[in-house]
Formats: sequence, C-alpha cells, structure tokens
Amino acid sequence: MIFTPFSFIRRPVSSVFSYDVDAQAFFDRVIAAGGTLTTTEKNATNSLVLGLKSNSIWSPMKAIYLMIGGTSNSCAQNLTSTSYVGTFSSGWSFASTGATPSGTNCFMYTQLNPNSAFSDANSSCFSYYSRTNNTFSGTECGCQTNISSPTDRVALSAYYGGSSYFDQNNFTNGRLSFTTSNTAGMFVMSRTSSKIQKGYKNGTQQGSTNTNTQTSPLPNANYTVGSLNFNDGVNWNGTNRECAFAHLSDGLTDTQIANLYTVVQAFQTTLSRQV
Amino acid sequence: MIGYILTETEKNSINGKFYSTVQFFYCSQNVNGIWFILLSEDDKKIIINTNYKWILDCPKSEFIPPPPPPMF
Repeated sequence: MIFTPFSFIRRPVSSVFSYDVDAQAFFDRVIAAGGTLTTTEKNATNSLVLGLKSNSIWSPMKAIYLMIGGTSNSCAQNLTSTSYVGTFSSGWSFASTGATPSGTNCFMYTQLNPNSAFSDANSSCFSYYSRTNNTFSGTECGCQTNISSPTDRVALSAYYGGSSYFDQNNFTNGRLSFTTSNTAGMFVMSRTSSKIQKGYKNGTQQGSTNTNTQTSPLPNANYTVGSLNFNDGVNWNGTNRECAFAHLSDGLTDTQIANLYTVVQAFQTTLSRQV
Repeated sequence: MIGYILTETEKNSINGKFYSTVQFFYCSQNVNGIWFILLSEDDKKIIINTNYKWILDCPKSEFIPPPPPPMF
C-alpha cells in the first residue's frame, strides 16, 4: 500500500461560474452600447433566461426588453438577439426601476415589423409590465399599418376610459376588453388561433376569450413600446405608465403565460421593483 | 406638460435627429398647430452637452395636444 501524505485533504473543485450564453451575449451588447449592469441585474437576467428556457418559452420569443440598467442604451437592447435594438423618442425617463414615457408623443421604436417578423397571423403574443397604477388613458404598445385602416391593429391598453383594451388584428370584428381596477402589473395578450384571443394580467386570464375571427395579417409597421404607432412618424395615445418589461413572441398558451409571469415576477423581485 | 416652443425652421433642424446613440428628437404640434419639443429631465442632461443645447433657451409653454383620432 502506498501512503500519500495529506491525501485526506480534498482538492478544491473548480467552481468558475459562467452565465448562460444568451444572457452573457446580452450583457456584452449592453456594455458595447455604453451601458452598465450591476451584479444583481446580471444574476436576475441570467435566472430569467434560464427560467424561460426551462419552461420552453425562450424559442417563441421575437424580442424582450428588460428595461434595466437605468439608461437609454441599456434599455434599448433586445435580450434575445442583436436584432430589434430600440430607439427612443425624446421624453423618456430612465431609472433602475424601468423606463417611463411622458404620455405625450413618446415612444420606443422596436424596429420590429410584425407583418414580416411573424410567420403566422394567428400566433402572436405581446406584453407590458406596468409599474404604475393610474387612470391615464393611454396605449402601452402596438402598431397598425394605416391610420385609416384599423383592421390589422395590434394594441395593448392597460387603461383607456375605464377599461383595458387588447387588439390583435381583430379590432373591427369585435375587440377584447375587461375592467381594470389597478394598472400596475403584467399585461399580456395572446392569439393562438384565428378565433382564440385571450388577455391576461399577472398570469391569469381576464375577461372572456375573444372568439371573433381575426380580420387581417399582422400590421406592416414599426411596433412601438409606449404608444400606438400608426405608421412611422404618427404616434397616438401614448401611456405614462412605467415599463419594466415588454416582449413580443409567437402565441403562448395559458400554461406558458402563467410560467412567463412567474419567471418575470421573480426577475422583478430580485431587482426589488415588483408590483 | 411644459415644452419648448419651436419655429418651423427650428423644428426642421432637429426633428428625427439623434442626440444620443438611441435617442432622437420627436417634435409635436399643439392644438393650435404650434411646434413643440417635449423633453424629460434625462433628455436635458444629455442635450446640454451637445450642439442642440440651444433648445433649452427656447421659450417654454404648456403643451396642449390636439384631440386624438376616434379610435377607441
């Protein structure tokens, strides 16, 4: 038997921590754009990405805006890829809690055209995480091809004249609306077929399923966050509610949206900005 | 909301121009057709260090938007 001195002392196991490759790529883009992120923000983002992937919600994503870092450069970055970097009109305020539009002709162009970015007009999902509870009549995000032709409108209003309104290329056939008592929370609208459109708040369906048939392809316009873009240069009905997350994806099911909310709320809680 | 009043020439000189990597001016007409630029405090902190700092010397006034189209 060969005696090895100090063999009872275990060699340290290598424990070099590395972020998820997509999370790390996002951090690199933020830094390259001139932004910075705290360790807490990086860890929260990494957990978010892992959560989306483990719940099979990462692949359907077209764009995700985390609104972290407290600057325009950091908030403009799309989590999912190098595409669809946002550009902000004048009027926004940026903080560690999110990005706040003024409510008057203030918006972020995503550079994402739903008509070309989505392969199926009957599969789309959009969200806005509002940190503000108020009764300001405004639209959180959306677009439509022409100001005079709302058939293809995509629009999410957390509050407009007393109700929430969700349009997903079905406005002229009958829209989805429900009463909202508090505009703080995560609002999601999802279409999973030509006759199934649903609205959600904080992962739970609100109102009835809208079974009115969609009326057209998705809009051929620049999708905006903070207002409704009719076409480049004409924006109306902006919101003044602070945004702490926004996304565009293929249509998501009830279960996927519940899981999305769980993951996003954990992200917000880590950043101490949950509502 | 308080905004800065612009002449037509001033509006044309800034509308759509970028004052940071990802931020651009977006001018608006009020209910009477007068051009305004509406800036946040964050915007002003950037603009004061650019060639656009003259905007901050323009006259200020309450911005009253025109009525929105009948969409809702």
